[in-house]
Amino acid sequence: MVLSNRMKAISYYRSIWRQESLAVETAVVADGKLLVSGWLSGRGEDATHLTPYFCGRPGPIAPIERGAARPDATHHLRHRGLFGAQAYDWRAMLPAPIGAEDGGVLLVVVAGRGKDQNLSIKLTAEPRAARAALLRGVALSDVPEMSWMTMLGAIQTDCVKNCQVRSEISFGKMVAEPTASLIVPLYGPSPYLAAQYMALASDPDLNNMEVIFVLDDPGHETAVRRELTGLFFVAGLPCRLLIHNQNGGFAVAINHGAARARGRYLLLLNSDILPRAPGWLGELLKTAAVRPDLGCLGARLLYANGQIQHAGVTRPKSGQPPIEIRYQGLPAEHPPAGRSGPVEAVTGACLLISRELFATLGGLDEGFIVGDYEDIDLCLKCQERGLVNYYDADVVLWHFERQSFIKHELAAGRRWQYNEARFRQRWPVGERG
Amino acid sequence: MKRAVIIAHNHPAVQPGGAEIAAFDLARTLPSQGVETLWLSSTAGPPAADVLTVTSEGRPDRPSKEVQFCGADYDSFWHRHNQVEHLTGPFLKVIEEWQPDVIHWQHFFRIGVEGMTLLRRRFPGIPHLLTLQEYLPLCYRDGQLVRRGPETLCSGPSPAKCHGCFQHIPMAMFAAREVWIKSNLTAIDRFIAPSEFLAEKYVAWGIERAKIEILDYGRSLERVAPHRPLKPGQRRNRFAYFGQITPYKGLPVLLRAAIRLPALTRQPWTLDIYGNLNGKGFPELVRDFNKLLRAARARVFYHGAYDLNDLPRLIEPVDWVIIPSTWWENSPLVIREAFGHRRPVIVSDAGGMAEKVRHGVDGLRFPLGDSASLADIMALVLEDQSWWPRLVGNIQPPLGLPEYATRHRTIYEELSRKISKGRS
Repeated sequence: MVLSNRMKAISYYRSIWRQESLAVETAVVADGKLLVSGWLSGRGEDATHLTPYFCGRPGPIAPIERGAARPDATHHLRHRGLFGAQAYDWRAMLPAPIGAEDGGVLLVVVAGRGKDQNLSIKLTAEPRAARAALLRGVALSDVPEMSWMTMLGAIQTDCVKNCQVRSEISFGKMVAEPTASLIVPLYGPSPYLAAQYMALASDPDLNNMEVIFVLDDPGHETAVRRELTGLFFVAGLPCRLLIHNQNGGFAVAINHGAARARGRYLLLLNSDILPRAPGWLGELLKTAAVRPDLGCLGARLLYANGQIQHAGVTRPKSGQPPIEIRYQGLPAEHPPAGRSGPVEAVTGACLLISRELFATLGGLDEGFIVGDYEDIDLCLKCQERGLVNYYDADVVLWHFERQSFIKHELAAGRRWQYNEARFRQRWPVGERG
Repeated sequence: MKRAVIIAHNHPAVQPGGAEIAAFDLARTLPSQGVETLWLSSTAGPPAADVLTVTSEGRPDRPSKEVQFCGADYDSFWHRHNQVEHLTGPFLKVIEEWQPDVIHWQHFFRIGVEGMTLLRRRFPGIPHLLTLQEYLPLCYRDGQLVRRGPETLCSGPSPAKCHGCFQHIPMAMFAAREVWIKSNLTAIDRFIAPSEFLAEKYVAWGIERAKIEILDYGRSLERVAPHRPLKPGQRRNRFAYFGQITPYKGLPVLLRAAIRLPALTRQPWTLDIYGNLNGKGFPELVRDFNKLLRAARARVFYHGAYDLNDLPRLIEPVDWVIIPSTWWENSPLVIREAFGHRRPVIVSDAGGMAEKVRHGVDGLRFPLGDSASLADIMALVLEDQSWWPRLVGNIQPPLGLPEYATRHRTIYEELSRKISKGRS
């Protein structure tokens, strides 16, 4: 009886072993390539290559590459009773089958030393879904590979192309010739929108400015419209609301806002930046007015706990990360942070630039995913032209950093890795002047 | 200066707090000074029959018109009405129909701070005033400026400190709250602070000192309760507490002092406690209060809630009034009432109480929250009977209501002149 039970257990484990040895999770089509990936374990390691079938037609055979360990899959296997199991990522890169850009089901025959295995998977061809799948998926090593980078780059271009301003709502009449245009990207219903709007509305400096909100998240259109309608009725600060048809990221939102701006200057402003007192914008404009060689102008930004969030950026000569935020985490009154002066770059959370210059530089680079490094990229482009980026220590604002980002679907995964690698390609450390 | 709007957070018929009474007193006295007054109060509960929109033609001693606004759907973190349509609709309409020459906010609670911005924009040419009642814009903890946990007095807010009191709310929200409220307060031309102390707190927070006027509340008594005639051998030995019973009012301090007092003096004495024990929100307070009351029951008597109109009758047998509050206070109504009836007071040595009571002149002060010192002072005045007549002799009666209303009218007119001069 005992023996019989043990036999049953062994046969059960064997069935799982077979069943759970190799799984296919994503099949992404982009840039004329097909990336198939999943995890494997135990007997799955016998698999060496696969053959794709699309619409009944076989594609070329491709090798299976084993990647890094997969703790989640390992946990899943061990939970099911395979105590010694260890799962790894795998992937295979193939030319995209004809017609796969429109989606469909892919059949994969995995072959190797063991028995062949037939698996099927839905193709992900829609750019944003493909981007998310790529960012979630397979890391063969810590260094992003070229093939992955180019695929992501192509998908990102598609994503950006698809993101357009769906509708535009005007609240009140805008001034005829604004000195500056404030561009505020919104993502979701910001808890600070009312405070930010009211702070702007109660500041006499804003009388001759234009405010443009860009809602980069159409799902929250109703809530944001209602909020702005109420606030406008109460405080009467004219503003415009642009609504994207889909999420496009920080750079796209800013560029769409800038395309409609009429001010002499643009002020890029995050939705989680709040002024501590009126008069800050006038100060920034005064600083900008006396500097003919100005590239981008930034302010001293503080966390809610009173520590410095941003006081400009320096680029270390070597090592990680490629940029360093000056004095971050030090007290607001840290003496060096109180000195205004040229810096290598400032943050796009609060960045003043002349509209003409912004247009000449082609706006923010939309190739970075969701929002990272495009502000630094803009500042370095200014430097390249011999202009000076400047930090104004006398303008102090709250910045509740990343509050709006944390909710984002792509915040996890390898977005950072991609953006950083892309930034390093653009601005290698050794080659700057 | 013909027509005024007084906006208040509650009606004294619904909640007879000091601020509500002072606001209503002003609204019902202004008409006799030639200023037609619309009283607009915001309440959370169902409309009370007595406070519904009435036109008080033929009703002397009432505001010219009373309107009740529904403030049930209110966000007391941001101080924002959740239904902005209520503000931009009926609320605004009532005021527009009134065509005011001055708008005086007695409070923004249950209406929302953005109401001030709204009215400023709709009525740009007239003065807008706000009376500062407590520290609600500064402090989310019921505007008391008392730190949660140690229950010590808070010197002033900061996002980090506020987060310390409310750990489930991120610091950033407190910073944003301050920006939101301050931005809306820019709509106000003149703030009226009932005490210098309160004004200083607001100045430290960022309100311009030049915009604040110090004017203590007015209070008129229909009848001044005579002092209790003493029979031979009797002493001035009857203490009393009047007021709401909430955690910030310091009742446990008073009761502990009463328990200690028999060890300090052999003189007879009694302590009467009048006040509504608000047990709904504060179960711990109720438990403490009842426990201490049982321990002190030989000489301490709890009488429950009282009506302010009964105060002259209740205070008649009382010699001393004690205010043991454990928060800063602003300008307590009970001090004005006690001084009106010429009773000396014993108060905590902090904030608005320290400002309104001169130690050893018209009252006595003890360190805030220190029941042993309070017991010492009670023993002192029981033993040395010369204190009572000396203090009574120095008591200055509070500002009368007609005078209070006249001062307001003067401020309105002065502001109105300034505004029209600024425009021309």
